[in-house]
Formats: sequence, C-alpha cells, structure tokens
Amino acid sequence: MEKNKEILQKTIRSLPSFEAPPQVWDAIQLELDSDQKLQHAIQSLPTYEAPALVWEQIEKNLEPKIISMPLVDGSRKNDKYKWLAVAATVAILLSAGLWFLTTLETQENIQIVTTEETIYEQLLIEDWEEDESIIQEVAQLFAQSKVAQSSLHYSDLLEEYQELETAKETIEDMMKQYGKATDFIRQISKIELERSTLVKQMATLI
Amino acid sequence: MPLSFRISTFIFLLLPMITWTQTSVKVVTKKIEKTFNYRSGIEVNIEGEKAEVNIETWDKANIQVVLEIIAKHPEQQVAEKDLERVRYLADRVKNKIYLRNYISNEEKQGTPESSLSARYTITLPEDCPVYLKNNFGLANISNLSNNLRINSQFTKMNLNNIQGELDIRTRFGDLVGNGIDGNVSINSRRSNLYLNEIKGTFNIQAHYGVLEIFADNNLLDLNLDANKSDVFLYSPDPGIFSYDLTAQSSDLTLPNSLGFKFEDNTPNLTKANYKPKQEVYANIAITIQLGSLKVKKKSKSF
Repeated sequence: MEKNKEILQKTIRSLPSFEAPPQVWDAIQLELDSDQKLQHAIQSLPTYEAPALVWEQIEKNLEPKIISMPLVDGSRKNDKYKWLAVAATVAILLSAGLWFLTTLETQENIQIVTTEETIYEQLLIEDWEEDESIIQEVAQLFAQSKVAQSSLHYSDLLEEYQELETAKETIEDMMKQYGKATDFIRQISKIELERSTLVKQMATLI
Repeated sequence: MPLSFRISTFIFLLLPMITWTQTSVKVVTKKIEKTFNYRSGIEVNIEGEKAEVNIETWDKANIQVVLEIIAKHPEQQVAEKDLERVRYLADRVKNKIYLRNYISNEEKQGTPESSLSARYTITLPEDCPVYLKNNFGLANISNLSNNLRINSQFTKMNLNNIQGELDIRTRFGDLVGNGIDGNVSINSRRSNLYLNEIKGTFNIQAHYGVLEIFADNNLLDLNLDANKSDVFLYSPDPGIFSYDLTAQSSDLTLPNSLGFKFEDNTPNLTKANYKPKQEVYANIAITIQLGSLKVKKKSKSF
C-alpha cells in the first residue's frame, strides 16, 4: 500500500506529456501492414502432403536399433547417435519434400504437335448482318407503337429481344477473341432463328 | 430419256458439290500434361473458354490433366503465333486445383487470324468434387459420385452416370443427362434438357427451353418450374407417381387412364392432381407458364 498516495498522484499529473510525431505512427502502421501481408502470404502458401512412402522411410529410421556400446562414457556416445538420427531424419524429410515437389505436383510436360485438316469455307460466311437493318426497324416500330404498348406481352417481347441482342453480341465478341469457327456461326444461327420468330411476332402487334 | 438431258441433270446435281471449296489448314496443338496428388477435400476448379472439357474417372489417387491449346490456320507460322494468345493456368492452391484457359487483356486488342480453342482431358478419382465454368464449348462428364457444380453459357453438356450433389446452371446451352442420381438442382435459360433415367430428387427451373424427362421408379421427387417451355414427361408407368400440376396459359396433355382430378380448368389456368393407390410414391410437382406439358407413357428411354 502506498503511503503518500495523494502526493504520488499529484506528481504523476504534473509530469509533462508528449505526443509522438506522425511519422512514428506511420512507421508503426507500415510495420503492422507488412506483418499482415506476411500473414496473408503465409495463408496463401500451398500445402503439400508427403506420400506414404516417405512416412514409411522415416518410420524405418526411427525404429530403435540395437547398438553395442562400451559402458565407459556411454552418455556421450548416446548423444552422438541421437544427433546423427535427428540429422538423418531431417535430411530424409528435406529430400522427400524436394522429390515430392519436383515429381508429383509441378512437373509440366509440354509438347507442340502440328497436323492437318480440311475445312469448308462456305460454312464460315458471315451473312447474318444482311437483314439487320429491317430487324432493327421492326423492333424500333414495335417499341414506339401505341398498339403494341397496350399488348400484354409488350415488355416481355422487348426484354426477349434485348436478351437475344446481348447474346449475339457476346458470341461476336468471343469470335473476335478466338477467331472464326463453325460452332460460333452455328450459335449465331440459332440466335438469329429465335430473333426471326420474335421479330415476326412483334410485327403482328405493331 | 435423251442423253443431253441426262448429262445436264448430272452436272446440275454435281454443281453444289463442286462449289463447296475445301481448304487445308494446319492444326498446331500445344499439349500440356500435369499430374496432381489427390486426397479427400481437394476440389478441381475448371474455367474454360471456347473449350471442350472431358472428365473421366479412375481408381488412382491422382488427378491427371491434359490441356491442349489448338490453333488452326492455312499457314503454320500464323497458327503458331496465334497459339501464344491463349494463356493457361494449371496450379494447386491449398485444397483447390485451378485449371484455366483465357486470352489476356493485352491480347484482346486484336483479332487472331487463326481459329483458337482448348481441350481438357481430366482423369480423377470419382469422389473428387468438380466445379466447371465454361463459356462456349462442350463438356463430357462421366462417373462422378460426390459433388458437381456447373455454370455454363453456350455449352453443350453430356453427363453420364453422375451421383451425389449436382448444381447446374446453363444459359444458351443444352444438357443431355443419362443416369443422373442424387440431389439435383438445375437452373436453365434458353437451354434444352434431355434427362434420361433420373434417380433421386430433382429441382428444375427452366425458362425458354424444351425439356424431355424420362422417369422410372427410382425417382424420389421432381419439382419443376417451367416458363415459356415445352415439357415432355415420359415414364413406363406414369401411375406410380403422385402429380400436382399447374398450367397457366399452357397446353396440358395427360394420360386419360389415370383419371386426374381437376381443381381449375379454364383456358388460363388448369390445376390437376393425381395420387396413386400405393402408400409410398414419388411426388411430381410441375408449374408451367406460357408453354406446354405432356405426360405420356413410354416404355423405353429416348
């Protein structure tokens, strides 16, 4: 128990106070950030499990071996063998880990092969834009038509038209990235077929 | 028949064949092979673009990946150059094996002269969970038994003998399933579904599509919500199921022999139900809007 409690508290209160300059806080924050980054990096490290063979080998090395040793100065000799066993275990673990990483997980075998095939150029003709202007014209008339607007299916049909337009654009965009191919053209044909049916339906409601 | 007429007919028939111009192209393929160790808890995560994805199973505790990146062009040098536009990833991060092909943002600027594509052949243990995201392509998956999730666009899917938890989302693609058994959830839009010999519990939401479903006594439950779709439900014995059907502005064709009870039967709304005599039965609940539903006895699967 403090005898002069009041005097002590008064003295503490009269002590000068200092505020740390901002760069100190910055430095602390930086250190904390780098700790967090380190923790994050540790978390994102890949985990590997050693194959059964490795554990079997370790087990074999850990099995007690009967070693004949002289009675004199036995403890020092025991220590020596103990350290040798530990060193051997560590060496096996390291080499097993290295073998595991290099052989089973990360080895990529890359080959480049060239062959030949035949394509039919007629199948790659892009002719769907020919009717685009009339399709858009009908869609525009439908969107503005008072008669169409009073139809129950007005917004459904417009939404459907928009969905098909977007789908067509997606395919065309993909074709720009991956090059012209018959499967893209087949998909556009399917979309165009649906658009044709839809536009005909729109035309009847204008 | 005069000879001149025969000759002109022959030429006329031959003409379309002559006008079909054939071009020989070089197919340059970069083949990447990689093997990963498998243990329980590991998931294979595939993100394909313009890719054919083939997934098969084996008894080994390994996941083998063969990724082929393909470029086709009449000139080999052009094909080889364009091949480099397609990037790939085949890596393991913690419990996930990520496989991906894509075109990087800088390569997206120009258009390749070649036709580019990718093909994955993945062989893995049957209990390995798989997540597949595929845009534009094809997926052939067989014999998985644990967990399969698919999110695809413009992709045709062939699933054979798949068990467990299935979650499939498809847009502008078709799904052909044979022997799917488990807890299945399908959300499809502008996709056709052909499901043959389904087993287990199915929850299906379909929008704009043709659905052909073949069910037998292995079905546990089927909940189907179809909008602007044509649904065909086939079974060798339609009387073994309980039915709860609602059709709004849709055509409904049911087997007369079952004696369905109709709660409502107006041009805009039809509600029909049927309960079999046996104590245990599978429930089929179907709601259809602006489409058609046909329940039909059919002894063989399509």
